[in-house]
Amino acid sequence: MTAERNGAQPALRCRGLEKRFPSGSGRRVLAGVDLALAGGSLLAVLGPSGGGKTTLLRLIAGLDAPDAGRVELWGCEVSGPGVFVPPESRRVGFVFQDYALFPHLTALENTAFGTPGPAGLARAWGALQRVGLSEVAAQRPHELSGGEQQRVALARALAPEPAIVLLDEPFSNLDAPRRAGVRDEVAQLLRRLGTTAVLVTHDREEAFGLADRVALLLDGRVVRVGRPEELARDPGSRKAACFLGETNFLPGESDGRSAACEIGRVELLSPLAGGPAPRGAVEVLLPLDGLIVENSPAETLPAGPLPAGRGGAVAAELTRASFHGAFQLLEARLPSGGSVCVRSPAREAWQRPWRPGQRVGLRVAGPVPAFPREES
Amino acid sequence: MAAMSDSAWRGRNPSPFLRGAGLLVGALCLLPLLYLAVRALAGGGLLEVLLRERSLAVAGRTLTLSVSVALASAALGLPLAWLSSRTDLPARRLLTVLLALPLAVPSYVAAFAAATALGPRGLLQRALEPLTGIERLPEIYGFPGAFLVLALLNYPYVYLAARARFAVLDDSLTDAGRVLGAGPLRRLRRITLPLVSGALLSGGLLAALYTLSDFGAVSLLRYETFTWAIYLQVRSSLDRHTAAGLALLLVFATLLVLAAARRFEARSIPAATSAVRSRPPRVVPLGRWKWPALLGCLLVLGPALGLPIGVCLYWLHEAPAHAAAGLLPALSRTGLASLAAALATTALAIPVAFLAVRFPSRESSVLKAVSHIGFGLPGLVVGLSLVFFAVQLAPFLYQTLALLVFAYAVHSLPQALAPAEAALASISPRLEDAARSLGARSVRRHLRVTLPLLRPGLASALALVFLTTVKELPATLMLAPTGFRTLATTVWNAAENVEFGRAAAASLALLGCSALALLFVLRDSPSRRLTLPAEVPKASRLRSPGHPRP
Repeated sequence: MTAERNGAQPALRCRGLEKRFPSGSGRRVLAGVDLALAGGSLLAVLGPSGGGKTTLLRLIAGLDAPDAGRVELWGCEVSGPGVFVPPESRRVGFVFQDYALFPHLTALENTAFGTPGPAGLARAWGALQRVGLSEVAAQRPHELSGGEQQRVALARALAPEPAIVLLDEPFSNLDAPRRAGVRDEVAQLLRRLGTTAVLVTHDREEAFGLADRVALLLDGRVVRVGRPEELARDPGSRKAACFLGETNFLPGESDGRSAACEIGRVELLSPLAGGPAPRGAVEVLLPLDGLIVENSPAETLPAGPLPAGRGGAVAAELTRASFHGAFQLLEARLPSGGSVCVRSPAREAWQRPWRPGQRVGLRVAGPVPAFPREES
Repeated sequence: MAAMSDSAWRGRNPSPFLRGAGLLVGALCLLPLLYLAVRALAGGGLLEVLLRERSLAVAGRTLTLSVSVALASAALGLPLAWLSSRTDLPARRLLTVLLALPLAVPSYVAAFAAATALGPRGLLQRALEPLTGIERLPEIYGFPGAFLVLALLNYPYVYLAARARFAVLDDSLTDAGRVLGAGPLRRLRRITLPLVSGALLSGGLLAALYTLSDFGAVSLLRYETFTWAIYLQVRSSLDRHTAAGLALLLVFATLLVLAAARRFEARSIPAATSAVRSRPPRVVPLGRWKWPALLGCLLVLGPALGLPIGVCLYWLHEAPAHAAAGLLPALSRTGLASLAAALATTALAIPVAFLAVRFPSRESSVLKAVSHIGFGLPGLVVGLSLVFFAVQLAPFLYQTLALLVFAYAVHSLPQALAPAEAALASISPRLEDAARSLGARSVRRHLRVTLPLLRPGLASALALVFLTTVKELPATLMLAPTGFRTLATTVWNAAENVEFGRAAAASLALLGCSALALLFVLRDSPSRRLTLPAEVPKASRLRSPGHPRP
């Protein structure tokens, strides 16, 4: 690989990647994935378990060959029609989900596997030091804790100074209390080294908390790419929103700027991809954190066309309330009989917790996304 | 009574009854070896016996044969294991089982078949003579025959060990090697081979162990290793002192090999770092190598399985009608002796298993080691020592069925111990505590809780000992009462007396028993776990950390 590392060129570009299992004929695991990643950035591919995330990484690394589509690393085609650079020659670092540390080699020998020679040993030693493991260099993998094994795997992937590092669910084998700490350390290290990295995960918090950009992989396609907060606010489709977490959907009628629904006339967000918000029959997404509960039962909404924006609160009755530490989860019944869920900040509960049976007002906190209603 | 055994179940201290039983079993296990040592050392001049030119020649032959068989087993077992576990070999499932079956062929049956088929004036030569005029084939008696037969029968030790290894070897390790820039040769040398080397070593050592203690093949093929030399010594010159000295040296060698095998097994590296397997093992497509690979497997299976079965069927077909005459009595005698041995061995295994699993201590681990001594004692040595013992100290036992059964029991105790211990270890002591809390006293507790749960384990132990005792030859030759011909001794004597029909009939009966025994062992072997009722493994998870698995 002689690709120049220049900032303008994407470090990784996938075009129309397809993969079936069993290869060529079976179920389509990847159905045309398009993805691009700038050098030095950290991309998280977020998708459900069994959704082809590992397959995507294996195609990028060359451990499997795609049935269709291309992979380019730093502008150099490594997989494509008639082209296949074997993984040995791709200069890709891979952190496997089970780490795949060689059980018969010490931590240092593992790290030095990809960097043969005395100079390589020095580099491997440096990599071990960077992950803070020089003290266990002489130990075998099964003598190390899960977190240490994970860091050895990372050091081993980084030691040959790969063009890109791929991490396959790197934190899923750690127990929950350790996970957050290790996650932050790894993210800091990757940032400090200016590494280009792709991380796949099914954990929303992990993807949002770590990555510069998040790509949502659903049904074998990347349906949306964006900064974590953009994605969280506007998932782009009903399906994506459902995957990202619990939300409320209310049917509404949109004029392209605002939509009328049971909770009043709400302002619509302009879509991430550009262009106007959908018109006509829509589904309005009301995030759990995007609703404000008010103590005073609101006046009944006037009949007829509703005013846009803050049209006051709608009256509702709380049917369930439970406390979860950081928030109180409420379920409110709307006058029509439908219900919505709301997360109310914990500090409100400290003052005066909401109780089931209470009559309250509900109000939307800001512009929300809406998606064209699908006839079912 | 209740108070006494109650204290046993308190946790740390076994009841005096259990302890006494354990001590008795330990003493019985040590008896053959100790008595042999006494006999060998008593007259003095042991070194002189061992340094005699003939002894050294015997030792040299034994060493040569064991090392060559071990190497050949590794060379055959490793590629066969890889083909059968990691490739799209045609008829893979059938071949996987067939390739392990040579273990079930008693060595004297294979040797009988090889000698009568490939020997001078044998079947092959007689078939070839009219066509080619060949009057002499390469010599089969001596080293070539013994090596061929033992290598073909013992390679499955390597094959099974390597298969078990390949089964847990994670593909992501070789993937990691690829991503880190290692080509196929470097991956083989640095990753795959080091990870299966433990299996190669321990399997090869087992093959060497069984070669050391083999009597059937070397005696029928006339290759004078320790066992055959000792037997000749006893039968011809009645020189008890030399025989005992050689036997002691043989035991020393087997114990050395056994210790080495144990050591390598204990030190072996786990094949993967995490218990979670990412995906099922990848199957390597053989492509145009498919049929050559199949041919290779058949070239091993042909002489290892096909030859003994084919030759036996041929002789049975050729034999005069009365050939099978003595078969039925021999069959019933074999059944009787083996059944008695199975019951006795399992009875001896129970106290040892209880002490080892429920009362782990220095004492019980010594007892456990002593109980495994039969594994390192060749059947011939057990037989020899007990003959000396009976003649000298207990003439009333000489040439009795009881002494034969005792020899079987010492020899096969380790086989009964493994399933008994596994079954006991999978029963949570909490279950007994629960029975106590419900007011059940010792006897009722054992009858209602422990024994029913132990039953599958004990049944395995019984079946295993029974099926392997059926084919035991050297101890039976030494100890069986006059006229008490079992299937094994029938084969051996008939082969010696050129009564091929009789040998063939008994051989086929033995092959059947052996195949059953092997299938029984293989059912458990990959994980060494027993098939127990569904609730038992769950209960075992509740065990306190104070009760480590053996």
